[in-house]
Amino acid sequence: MRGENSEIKFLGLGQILLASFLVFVLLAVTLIKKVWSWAPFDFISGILSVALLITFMLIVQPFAKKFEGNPVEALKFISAFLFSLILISFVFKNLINVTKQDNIVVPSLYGDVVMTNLFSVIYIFLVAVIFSIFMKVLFLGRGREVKVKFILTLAFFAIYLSFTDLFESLSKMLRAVVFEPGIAMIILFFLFMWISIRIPWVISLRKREKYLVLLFSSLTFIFVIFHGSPLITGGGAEALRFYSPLLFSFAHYYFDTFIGVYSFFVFVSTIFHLPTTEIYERKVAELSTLQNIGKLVAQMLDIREFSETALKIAMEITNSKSALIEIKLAENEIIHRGIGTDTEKLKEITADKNLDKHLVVNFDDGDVLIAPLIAHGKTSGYLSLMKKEGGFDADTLNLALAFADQIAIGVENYKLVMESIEKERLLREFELARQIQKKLLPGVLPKSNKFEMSALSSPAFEVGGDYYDFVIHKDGNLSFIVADVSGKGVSAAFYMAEIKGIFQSISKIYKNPTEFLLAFNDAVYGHVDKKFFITLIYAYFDVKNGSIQIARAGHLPPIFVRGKKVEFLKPPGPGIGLMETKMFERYIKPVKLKLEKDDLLIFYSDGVIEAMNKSWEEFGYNRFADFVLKISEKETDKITRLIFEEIEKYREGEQTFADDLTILAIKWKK
Amino acid sequence: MGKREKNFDVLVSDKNSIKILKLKGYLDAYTSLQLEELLRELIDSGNFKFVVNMKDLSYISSAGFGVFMAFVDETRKNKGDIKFSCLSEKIDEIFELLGFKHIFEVYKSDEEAIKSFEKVGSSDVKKKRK
Repeated sequence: MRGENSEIKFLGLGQILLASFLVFVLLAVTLIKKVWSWAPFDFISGILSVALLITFMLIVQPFAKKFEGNPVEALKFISAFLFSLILISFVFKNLINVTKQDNIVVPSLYGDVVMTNLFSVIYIFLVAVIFSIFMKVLFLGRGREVKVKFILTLAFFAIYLSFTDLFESLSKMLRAVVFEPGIAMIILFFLFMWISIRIPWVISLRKREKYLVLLFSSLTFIFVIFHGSPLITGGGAEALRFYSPLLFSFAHYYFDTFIGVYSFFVFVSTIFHLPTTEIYERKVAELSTLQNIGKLVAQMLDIREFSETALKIAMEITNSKSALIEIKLAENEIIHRGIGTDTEKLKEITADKNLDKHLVVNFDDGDVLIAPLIAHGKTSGYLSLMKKEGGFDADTLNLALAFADQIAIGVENYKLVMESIEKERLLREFELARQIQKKLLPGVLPKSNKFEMSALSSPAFEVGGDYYDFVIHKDGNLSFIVADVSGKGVSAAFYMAEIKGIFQSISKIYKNPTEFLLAFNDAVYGHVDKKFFITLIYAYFDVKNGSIQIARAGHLPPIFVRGKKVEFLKPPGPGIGLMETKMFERYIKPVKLKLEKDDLLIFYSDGVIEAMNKSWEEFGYNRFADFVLKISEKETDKITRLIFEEIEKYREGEQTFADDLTILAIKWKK
Repeated sequence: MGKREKNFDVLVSDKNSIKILKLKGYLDAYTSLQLEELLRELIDSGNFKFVVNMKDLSYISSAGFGVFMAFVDETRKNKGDIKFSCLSEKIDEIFELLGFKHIFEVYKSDEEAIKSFEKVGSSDVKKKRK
């Protein structure tokens, strides 16, 4: 890299040295010419000045390169440099005194010769700059064809030159054989027209650029005419002719004509393409919009990036100066983004506007468009754009509104994607809660030759509120519980875990059912959300004596079967957590049973009684009692399973109202 | 076989600054959210006396009861109450089983429930005069 750079520098230095050398030789030659006017001197100064021109052109190449592919800027600079060229000529016209000497105009004094040199060097430099830039424009978007034509013009110019006084002897010969120099000039003129007829870069210009091109090309044309006019450049031009007749010819016949013709064609071509600008711009905009929407879709998962890109695209397709977007994702999640210099002003204008429909507000010398982002009838924010210089025309407005719709759909899709991700997450959490809950229930039930015990539980949803558990005391007696937490879902599972903790700890201290319930109520009342309460059955099972004490706290009455008699045990007791323990105490009255062989007790949750069939009938107590009586002689394992199956059958596959279902059966064997 | 829907509806009417809520349909863990919202709104706008008519209520789950539990203390602190009327046999039994009758006053008709509010109101006034 460094090597390359120094090489370029070295090259530049060489060119500058060469140029300086040429300048001094030219000064010397012109000074001699002043004293001794000899024709070959004109020839030498001509060749030298052209060499100087080419050297200057090489020096300014890096500068000219900037205008590659940028014809508007190029034309602007061409007209500006042409203007300075005219200005310089005009200034030096009054500084250089010329006198006529044998039909040839020469500078009056040696001082004038030096001035002529100074003027000419500046002049050549400016011509080099202009011509370099001009060639960039000329070659833009065209292939070899233009280069061939260009060389042809140079060749014809050379032919034309040979007619002039410069090559007197050759000229005489040609004039005799072929034609007048005027004809050569005309042919050159047509060559310029031929080369200028195709200007491909005009088509793809934007409207504003086309207006600029019209301005600059007409200025260029006018300046070229001025440049040729003796009124403005008069003496300067004469001095230049003295300095280098060849360069004078080049500047006035080739350079002026070429640029003049070309700028004229640019002007005409631009006017010709002006009406198609809109269509062209629209097509380009549509294409880029399509590409951009593709970009937008790719950013679906990052709403901030999405809004940023949307803003940029909106500004691009509408040619707006400032843009603001607000996207409301949730009640307290609003995304704000602004691009451009006037976003504060935009915010102000947009602030108090009703966003049901789009709105165009006049502002200074432009418009502000406020477009609501509406998809599926829901407004999810707004897009506002500020466009100066004439504001929004109908087409741009439609484009902006269509794009606002695209954004709205994008936002809506983003929300949907996020929702489904959230849903997925919730499902996983539910699954986790369900697994935890499953672990809260005992894995194995106590076994004994004195009794059978079986349980079955199936939660209605992912997480249910039913719970059963037992504790084996040191003396071999049992405490067990069947409970139901009000509500469902994850919160119910939480309370269930709490019940397990309370049950496992309290039942070891307070075996007595009344004491147990009071302690339980104390632990729950006032410590959990008022909405939640617990219904439960607590039983203390004296295995040695074959007796059982049952306390009910708001729960469904357990079924008791002895022989062919079935009974619902309803010892009084309100639900846990409904009232203060002091008050609660008054209403609890446990029941005590002395068990006989084959006595059957079934504890259950409301899923059993409230199971519904298709005609809105509940399974109910009577049906339940009848069914239990029918199967009471079977083992408890079978009993629980048969009840479950009977309820499933009763529901007739109707799952809509499926509730938690828990069945716990105990049969006394001794 | 059309899917049954869990219909639940509340009809609100006024009588002497007492709000009468006529419940209809199926009050479970999901529809109770609707009732909770309604009660929250009514209480926030300064209503503390409620009569809940359960004549057309076909089902109430524990979560449904939970809604009343959530608000009863607040109404009582503001000299109001939640009272129930016209319980169906089935719901009456659930009230009994849960022990709800120890917490809430239950009446045979709206009129009786409203009257009971008036008694409390007049006794309050008397107390103040003393």
